[in-house]
Amino acid sequence: MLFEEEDITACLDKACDIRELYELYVLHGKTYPKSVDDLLWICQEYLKKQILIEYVDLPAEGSSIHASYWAMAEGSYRIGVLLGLSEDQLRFVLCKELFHVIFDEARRRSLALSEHVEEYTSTFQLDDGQPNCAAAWETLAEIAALEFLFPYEYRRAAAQGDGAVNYARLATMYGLPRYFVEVGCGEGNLDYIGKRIRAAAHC
Amino acid sequence: MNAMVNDMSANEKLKGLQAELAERGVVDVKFFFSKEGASPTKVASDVTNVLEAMLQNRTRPFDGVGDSVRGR
Repeated sequence: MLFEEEDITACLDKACDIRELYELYVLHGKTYPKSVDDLLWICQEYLKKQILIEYVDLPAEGSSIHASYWAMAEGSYRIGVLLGLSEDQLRFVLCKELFHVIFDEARRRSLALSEHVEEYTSTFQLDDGQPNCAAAWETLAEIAALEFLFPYEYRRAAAQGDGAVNYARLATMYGLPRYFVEVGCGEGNLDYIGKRIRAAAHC
Repeated sequence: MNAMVNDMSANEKLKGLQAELAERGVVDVKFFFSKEGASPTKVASDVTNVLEAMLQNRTRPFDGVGDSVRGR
């Protein structure tokens, strides 16, 4: 998948800013696993975001959707999470949805449901797919969530160790679903993110 | 054309929900898509179910993940 350079740079910069804010205001903020409850507190207390989080009365198991994020015209946000996610899944899902709150700008918004679903499920999953802006931000929010919960430099160090990477141990250490640990420690991901972080960056 | 475009009933439902969301003051909707992969028709159906549940307030209170380190 491809992103606009401007979008991936904005995504990584914002993830870095939020990590710094978290480390500044949360006691033991430099330790891992990072707390998603405390990230919510940062969003509410320091970013002044009004966020309602609820469980949606539907099981996540068997559903291709695990959560939905809504931005309201009056400036508040609503996040619905389906029932039955494991704690590490819940942490990642919520962290990603909170990054939609953090990233919210008029130009990144969309209510075009059919187009959004179509874009995400077709073109966007191809390696050379060039998604429209709103669909791209679905994956950019996942990238930001991973950068917050298991930053690039930690992933790079883990992937460079002797022997095979112990994904299960890393998933436990960082409180993440193993899937995202494997994706985040993959060579392609590390090369792509590393280049942009070096080009952008203050983190 | 892909399956999504051809599935008029799923498309019509999504368009109806889009109008209802706009009427309620929603200006942006995003989703967490499971990584297991699903057909566009299945995704559209699940999107419909989730949005309808939220619009009808078929929800339960959320009291946090329980991973806060601030108080420790």
